Amino acid sequence: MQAPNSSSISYGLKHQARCISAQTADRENNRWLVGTLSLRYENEVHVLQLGENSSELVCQGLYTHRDEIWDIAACPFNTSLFSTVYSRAGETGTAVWKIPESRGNKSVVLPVEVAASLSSVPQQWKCTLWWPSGQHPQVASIGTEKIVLWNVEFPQNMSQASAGGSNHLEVGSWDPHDFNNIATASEGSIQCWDLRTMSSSTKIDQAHVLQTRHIDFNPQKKHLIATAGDDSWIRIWDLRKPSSPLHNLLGHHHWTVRVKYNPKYEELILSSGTDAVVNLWRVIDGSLTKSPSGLPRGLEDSLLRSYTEHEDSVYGIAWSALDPWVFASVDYDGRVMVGSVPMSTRKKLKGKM
Amino acid sequence: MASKEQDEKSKRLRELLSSFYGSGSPESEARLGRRDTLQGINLPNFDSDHYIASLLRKTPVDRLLQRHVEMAAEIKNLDSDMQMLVYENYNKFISATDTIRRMKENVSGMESNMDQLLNTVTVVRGKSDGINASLCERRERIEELNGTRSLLRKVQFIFDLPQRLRKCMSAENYAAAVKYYQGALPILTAYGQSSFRTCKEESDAIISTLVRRLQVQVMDPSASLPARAQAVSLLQQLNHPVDTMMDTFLSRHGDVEAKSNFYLSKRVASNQGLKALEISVSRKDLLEEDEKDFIEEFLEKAVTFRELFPKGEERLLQASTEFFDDYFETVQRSLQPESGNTSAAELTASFHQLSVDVARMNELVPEANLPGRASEAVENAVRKHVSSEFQSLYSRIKASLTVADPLRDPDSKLPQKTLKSFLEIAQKTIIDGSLEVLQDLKELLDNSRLYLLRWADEYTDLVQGGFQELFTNLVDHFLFLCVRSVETSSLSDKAQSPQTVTPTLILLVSLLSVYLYQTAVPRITELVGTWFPGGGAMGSDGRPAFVPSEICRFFSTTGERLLQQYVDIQARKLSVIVRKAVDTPNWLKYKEPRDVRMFVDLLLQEVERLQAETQQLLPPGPHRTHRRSDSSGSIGSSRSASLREDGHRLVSSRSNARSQLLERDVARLFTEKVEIFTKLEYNQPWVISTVVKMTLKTFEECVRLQTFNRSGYQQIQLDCHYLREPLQNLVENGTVVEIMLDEVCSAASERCQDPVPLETAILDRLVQMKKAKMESVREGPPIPIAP
Repeated sequence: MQAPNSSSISYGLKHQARCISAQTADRENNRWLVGTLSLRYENEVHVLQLGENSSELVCQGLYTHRDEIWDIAACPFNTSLFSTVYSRAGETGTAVWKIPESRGNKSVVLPVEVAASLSSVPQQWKCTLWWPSGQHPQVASIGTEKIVLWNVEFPQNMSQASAGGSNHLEVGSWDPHDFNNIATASEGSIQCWDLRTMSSSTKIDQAHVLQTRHIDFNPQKKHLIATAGDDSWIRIWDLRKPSSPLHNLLGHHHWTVRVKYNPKYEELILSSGTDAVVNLWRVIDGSLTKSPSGLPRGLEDSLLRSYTEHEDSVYGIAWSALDPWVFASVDYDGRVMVGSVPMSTRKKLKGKM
Repeated sequence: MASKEQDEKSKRLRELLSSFYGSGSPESEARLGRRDTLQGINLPNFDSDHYIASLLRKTPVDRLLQRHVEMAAEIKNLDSDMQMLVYENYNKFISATDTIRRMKENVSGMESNMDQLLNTVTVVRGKSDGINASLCERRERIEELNGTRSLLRKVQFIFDLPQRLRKCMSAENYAAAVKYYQGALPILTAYGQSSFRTCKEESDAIISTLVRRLQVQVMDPSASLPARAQAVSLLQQLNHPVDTMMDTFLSRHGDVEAKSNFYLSKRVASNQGLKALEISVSRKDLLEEDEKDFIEEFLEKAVTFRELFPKGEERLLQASTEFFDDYFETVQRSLQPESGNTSAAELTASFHQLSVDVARMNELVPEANLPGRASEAVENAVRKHVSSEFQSLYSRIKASLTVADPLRDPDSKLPQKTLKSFLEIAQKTIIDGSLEVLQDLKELLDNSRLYLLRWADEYTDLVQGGFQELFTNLVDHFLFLCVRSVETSSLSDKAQSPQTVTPTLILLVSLLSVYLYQTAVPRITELVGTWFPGGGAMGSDGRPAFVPSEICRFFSTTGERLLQQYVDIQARKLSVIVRKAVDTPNWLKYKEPRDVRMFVDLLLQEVERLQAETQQLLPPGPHRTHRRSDSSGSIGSSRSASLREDGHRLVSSRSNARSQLLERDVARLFTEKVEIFTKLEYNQPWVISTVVKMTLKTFEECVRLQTFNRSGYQQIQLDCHYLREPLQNLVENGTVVEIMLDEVCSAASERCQDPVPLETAILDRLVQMKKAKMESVREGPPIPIAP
């Protein structure tokens, strides 16, 4: 499968795909997990690794996963564990899987094994989040109506919070600075949850005009989150000041579906949209001058680069866990691409550190 | 012997005489000594023996005889001389002795007389001392009495003072009265508290009446000027505070001011009451009349004042400064009436009047720096005029926008061309208003060149700065509207609050921006350049006051942003409809499709409305017909056919996933990549097609998030099939619509558990049914929105 642009590194999946996750537990390789989304065929989980000289994307493991994968998250401490949210015939479930031991015969594609499953709670699941730091068996699963905190080792051991009312949770993110805090999105609003009491705390009433598609916490600075939505904007918020965003980035031409902070350089933000573009942003505090009417002028200045090699909507992006200058993205067509931060930007950021 | 004696005698005599007369020189002696001793008979050291011996020796007898005779004669002469001398001197001696004797006698008599005199004098002195002592006492007494007498006379004067004053008062001899009073004043002040209290009080009372009378006299305009001046000087002598007099004198200008205020209020009243034409005439007249009165009076006053108070120059200056403060305030007020706008002509007329007045007043009070203040007032007036011109223009433009806004009720069927006319009105407001302002300001400059001469450059900068500010304000206002529309767009479905910015307004404003940077700003720049050349004075930051290129850039970006915003809002509206339609049903339990769903009608209605709206404002765009014929051509249909084929194959060969993927890629290779997001263009097709493309993209994305059963897929298929034709008609480039609808269908088939498409014949039949129903409904009541 040849990429249209020879300089970009790409890998083709057999099926359509929506999700990708960096394997953070692997400290030696740039690895990602990609799950496919095929309604009628058996789905696969690919373990992709960026080759020695960063010139090609190599498949390090291929496992079958019966149901279509809507969300995938690699375990942060064990390379053989990952969680998915899957769907079969309209029913969704979430489970933690174990990658099977290779028995020498590489030609046989093995199925992943269930490590733990949250089958007891019927719910329209949206995503599962691992404990944000260190080895901890606790995971959080977000469904349209519930947040469930459960233990991978004892799946029965769980606590729940009900979203309540007509809210339909769409996506969530675990605060890396405060393990008791999870932010979720429903429709246009953002809601924070205190996991000790399993009740809601801070709320941003209208983060986006239409659906909010994704939330990501700033890995370096507390209280900051980035959100992406169907109104095509990317917004940066300070949770202590939920009335107005700190920054507005005119993200994509259609929906902006993903937004991700770089794990090391928090000024770098990656976003992807249904306009088949991956955008790399650099947001510096106070860099945007505001006109008297309050509308920022010169928004485009913070856009570092657009990666336009994809041909369909890009639903999944993930920074590499090892190399902060590398990221992977997957489009609906099943094409995984690896991109990198431009050299000029790297120099600037390195100089700043 | 005798001769010898004689010689000796004469010699001695001579000696005596010579010693007496001081003659006889040692030279002659020496000479004689050396000479023959015979010759030295007259010398003191003459040796008669030697002389005789030598004479006897040297001289013969006859000669001796002769000599003897000679000598005897000589001796005789000498003797007689001697006798003469003795006689004479003797007489003198005798008289001297007599005199001495008489003197001796007299002096001895005088001694006693002197003693007698001394005694007498001593007696006289003693007597006179006695008299003096006895008289001294009396003299002191007399002197004392004398003092008392004069004091009594003064006291008398003071006691008489009131009466005298009264007399003077009745005779109106004020000057004398003042003189008297002035004379008595030291005593009165010294003893007024004790001895002369009544007297003082009385005279004070009289003087105060006098003062009053004098004041009256001063203030009496009918009295003659010298009399009044005299009164003033008298008052001054009486230490009466002239300053307060001046104040009271000058304060009578208050009446003038009150009068002017009265005029002013009258004018304002007339402003409200009268029609525009009459106002301008009457206002001008009133102004002139008012000012004339005002100034005449002041001039008169000032002249009088100067006569009356020759020393009050400073006060006059101060008072006139105060007066002019009021005056200029009045003038400024008259230059800027609260209601309405003064035109340049009126302003010029006022300036003229002002300059005439000021010139006159300046002659009178040159110290008051009137021309400076007048030019300051003119400058202020002009500045205010310019800024008010621009402000009114800005508010007019804004008003033209707000007028356009409330009419954007989507339900009301506006007559054709209305939006166009709104745009035209707004454009006309901008260009005409700007030209009007320019014309007006130019007129002002031309007519008032004299008054503006000093800061003509600044004036030019003022005008240019005014335009700069106007346009930046407009840009800000436009951006503000844009932001507002972002904030309110989510609420716009629920409630139409008055603050809501409708999308149409955004479109209107966007086009206005284009008009501004393409037409209005260049034109205004040109006019400003020709009418207000120079303007050398730079602004504070060293840049020209008016930067048209910058303004154009602002408007260009603003226009694009606004158009983008308009498209976004419209697309969002449609997307909400599509999204509800896709998200709401339970697709896994969907029943076989019977009819095209309602949302499609809603969608088409919206697009049609959008088209109707944009048609009025936006140009139709280039090569429209050509592209349309192209759109319904072979490319789109061939692709859709291939996809449908694709769907069939999926059913038949489930296992061959690899080939399916390959198939898809190959198909993709041969179809052009859909350019959903093309570069922004100011024409209707671009707007419509962008909105439709965005909507269809949303449709596709929503479908991708669902899972369908066979009937669900078929429903989507049916909806898309129905949309195909009308959308192709609406959108300029139909191919794109075709491709995108195909993609929606393929997305649905991918998300379908059992993707069996409906036969084309059935699709067509259902679509025909729907169309027929639509035809019948269109005559009937409006369609209710699908649940």
